[in-house]
Amino acid sequence: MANSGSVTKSIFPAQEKTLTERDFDWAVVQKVQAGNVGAFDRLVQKYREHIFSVIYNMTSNREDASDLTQETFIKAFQAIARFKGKSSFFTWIYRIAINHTMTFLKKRNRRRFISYEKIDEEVSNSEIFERLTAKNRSEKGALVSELQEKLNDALQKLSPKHRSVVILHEIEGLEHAEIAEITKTSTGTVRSRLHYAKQQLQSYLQDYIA
Amino acid sequence: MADTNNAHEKEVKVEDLLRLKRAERPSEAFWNTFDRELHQRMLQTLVKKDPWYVQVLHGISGRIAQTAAVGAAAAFLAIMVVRPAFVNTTAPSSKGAQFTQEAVASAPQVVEVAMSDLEDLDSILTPDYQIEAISGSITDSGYANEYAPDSFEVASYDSEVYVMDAAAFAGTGLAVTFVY
Repeated sequence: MANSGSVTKSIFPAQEKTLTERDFDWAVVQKVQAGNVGAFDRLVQKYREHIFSVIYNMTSNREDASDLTQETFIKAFQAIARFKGKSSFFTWIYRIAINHTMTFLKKRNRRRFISYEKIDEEVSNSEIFERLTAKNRSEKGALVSELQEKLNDALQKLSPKHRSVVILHEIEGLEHAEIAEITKTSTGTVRSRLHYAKQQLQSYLQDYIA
Repeated sequence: MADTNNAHEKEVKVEDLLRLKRAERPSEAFWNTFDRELHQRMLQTLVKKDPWYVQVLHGISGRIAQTAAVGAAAAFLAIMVVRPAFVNTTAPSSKGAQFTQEAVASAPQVVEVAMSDLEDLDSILTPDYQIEAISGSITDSGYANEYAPDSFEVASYDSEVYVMDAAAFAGTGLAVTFVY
């Protein structure tokens, strides 16, 4: 990945994804296209958490995210016969997820219900939380829930287009080129959106940033 | 210098905060429910019914075919039975207006006849409805006295002058109008 230096946890190691992962996915897709419907479950198991993560961070609602993730896979399943393998399966399914979520967000309009996932215990013990706790001189448990709320709130203040780029890059760890392919824009547009979105987030979260 | 570097390293960036979002993960129980629901929904898509409008179309298509067949047969029968009646009396469409004008010009002629004149008709008319006059004589019966007409207007017409669209009235008749 282009940003592998800055992203500590890479979802798909760069070379492995461009060759092995893509070939593996394509082989599974061909099985499904040949009538082995059960093979689709392997793709679900592989991508469900990433798709859910993108949608959850786009919507800030775990129930909506669950429904939309299921619908994303159903859409993919219904359209898999038309998938020709020109792009990788992962960019294809991410594109379905992003487009489906964008449509959902347009319909949802002003109605916003927030429901969060629990933050992993390990993360609350991480170095960054130690630093934040020291800086804010607050109790760790309270800080975790407060920061979670502020982060989700800040993301929701971004436009869906900017939000999606930030999520795909900073949370999912995708390259600019991959995001450009998913969102059907240029890498320049991706960089521009990312830069603007980070500036916005910085101003929203300035209480937590050094 | 070292202190500056340490301070810089300890700075919290936006990227650091966003990375914390990765820790918001659903539990295993969530994924079990997710998988079960997804399988159910995928099975539903495999056996999904057509949309309501397609079902309605399918439902009525059989009836439409039956009705169309019956209707076509009825229409064919009607054409075969009714058409011959119009064959000789149908005016050419291009001359329709001309026929209408002729019909107006040669409208039934009204002849006023005095009651005294009608008394002489007895000798002329015979009780036969096929002829062009009302037969019979006027008597002083109660009914007649009460509604005794001053005169008869006797009009005769010929069917050929009554042209309506393409159809013409057949036969010859006699029109009688009572004028009070």
